[in-house]
Amino acid sequence: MKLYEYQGKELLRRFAVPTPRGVLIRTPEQVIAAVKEIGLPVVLKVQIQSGGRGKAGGIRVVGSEAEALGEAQELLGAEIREEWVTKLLVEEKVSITKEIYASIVVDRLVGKPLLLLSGQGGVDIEELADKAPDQIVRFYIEPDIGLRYFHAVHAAKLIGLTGKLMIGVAEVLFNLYRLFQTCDAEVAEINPLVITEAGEVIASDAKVVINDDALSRQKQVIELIDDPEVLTAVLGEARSKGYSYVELEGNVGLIGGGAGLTLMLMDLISMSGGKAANFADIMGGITRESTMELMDTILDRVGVERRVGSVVIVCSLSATPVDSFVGGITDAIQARKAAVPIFAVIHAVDSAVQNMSLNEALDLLQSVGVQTYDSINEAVAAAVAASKGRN
Amino acid sequence: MAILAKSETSVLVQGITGRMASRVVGRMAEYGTKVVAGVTVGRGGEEVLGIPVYDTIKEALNEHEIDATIMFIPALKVKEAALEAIEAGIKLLVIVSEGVPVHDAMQIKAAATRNDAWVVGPNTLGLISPGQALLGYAASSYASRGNIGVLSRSGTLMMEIIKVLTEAGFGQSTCIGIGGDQVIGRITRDYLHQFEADPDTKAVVIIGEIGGNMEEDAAEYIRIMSKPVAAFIVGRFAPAQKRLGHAGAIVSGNTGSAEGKRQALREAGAFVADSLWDIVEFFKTLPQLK
Repeated sequence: MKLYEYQGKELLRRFAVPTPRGVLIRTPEQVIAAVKEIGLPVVLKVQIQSGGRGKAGGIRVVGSEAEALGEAQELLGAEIREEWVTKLLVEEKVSITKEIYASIVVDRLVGKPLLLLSGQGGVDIEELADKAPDQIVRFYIEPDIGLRYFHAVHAAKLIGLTGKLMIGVAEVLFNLYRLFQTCDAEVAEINPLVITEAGEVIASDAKVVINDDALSRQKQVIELIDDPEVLTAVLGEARSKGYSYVELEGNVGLIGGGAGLTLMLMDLISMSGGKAANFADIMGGITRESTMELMDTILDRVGVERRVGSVVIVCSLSATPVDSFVGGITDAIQARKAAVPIFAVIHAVDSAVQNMSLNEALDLLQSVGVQTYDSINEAVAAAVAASKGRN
Repeated sequence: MAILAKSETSVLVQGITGRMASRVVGRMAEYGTKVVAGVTVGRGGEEVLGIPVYDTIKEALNEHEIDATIMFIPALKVKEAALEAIEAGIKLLVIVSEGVPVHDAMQIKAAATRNDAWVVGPNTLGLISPGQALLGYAASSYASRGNIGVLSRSGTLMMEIIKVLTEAGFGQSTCIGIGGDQVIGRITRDYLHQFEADPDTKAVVIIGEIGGNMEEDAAEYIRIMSKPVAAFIVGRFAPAQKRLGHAGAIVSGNTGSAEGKRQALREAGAFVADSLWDIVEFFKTLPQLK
């Protein structure tokens, strides 16, 4: 889960990393009180998830209350980078003598946290890595040891800092790692970490991404979420239902057993000239009720926008009972009296066929009008052809 | 010979009293796997399918030799259970659970590396050395013993390739679901090392997917391998920036695309398949597999 800048900064403060003084506002009128509290000039920053908001005009410096009100009115409710702006962070404008890049990320391949530090902050790290890779200090952190303070000092030295500034940056790095570790972050990035005229070290921006799998144990992160819809979406994680579902834009609905199999199914649909209407992957042990719920979600898009023109289901079961899966599918079809062509390839062996044989399962599907196939290629071709027949 | 798990491997089941565990363990034992003991905290003294249950691994080790453990443990409790196994000196862990926090996975991997333990997963249906041992719930009915090594980030796709290989007469040495998460115990390259060194394995199949750069990293090793490698990468037409299914399957920025992986593998000399059936056609052309 990617946090907004203001949420990331709240976490930074809790871990003793200095941030500019700031106030979050949701209506333009609130900007006046914010300006009085902080003192001019201030910076107005849209709180959106995408990067590049500066270039898109989402960061404005203002020198008067009137200007602040005008800009706040323009920004709140605007659409920037395809997101509606509902919050603005009103911040003091800090003086900048140097911009540093500092982040800690999970390096998947090595399986360790990686500290990235550069004296050339303020630019996109990918751009920097491209143009000047030797300007980036890279330090792998042992997960069971962590980032020791002396490691942080060493890193700060490597980007040319000395004395008080070296200490200031080292402390930020040390605390950033504590945040990263304590909050189950996948990414904790400060870009730029600013050194002001007065020699203070301040986090001017914050990008924190929390590992979704750890959210349920991150009370302090959950508390930061103030939008009820986001909270439900995040905590009602599909994973606990036994399936994962992502809506897409095509017209062939699909259900796959297993993420890799589902990705292959999506590839086959594309290669046959069709387009997937969704991604849907069922997990091992899925119940009949959850299967019905998932199938129903897909069938729901047949009626409404006439988008889904056919559905293809491919499953390879070895432990999930085939009767649960097939039962859920047929329950959904019967409840909806679905009038869309449905094609299925079901492979089931071992413990999956303890309660019901594969042949019985296929018979059950056929009895509600599902066309069953042995070959995945043929089923996909049929589904793509059928989807084109509509509209 | 096969890699990692063989007929003599004695297996512990952590979380044995769970519903899924008992179903899977039954099939494992039927297959001939040496399941010797189980651990579920608080259920010591009980039995599951005739297998004795203990409260701790140490107690189990007092009565039995244990080479490997398979874990059916809730995601947030996996780290503690895995560290217990590693500290007890168990050298092969299979972590079935999906949803293990990435920080926990990093801690487990660090402990495993320090103790020379091999962790399969997290987020896997396990592994099978056909005719010898089944650790998990890979479809044993599809598997047949032979010379093809299979490693896959997707469990169900692995079952499909096993089915296709067996139907074409190409048996398998060992098939491993390496795990679908961002951080897994061992990466593609590590398994290739094992297969290269295994006298039973004459060719290898890699099933990969979008996200991360394990396949690109493995390509560097494939260049110098003596055994042929066939690779199939899924997610070629998946939209970018969306996490699809596996925690590990997301294309972001410049890395992790299917085309990038295919190209790296191709340049390294691997056969890059457009479908599972292509892999069989490729193997039919290889003299060492006749």
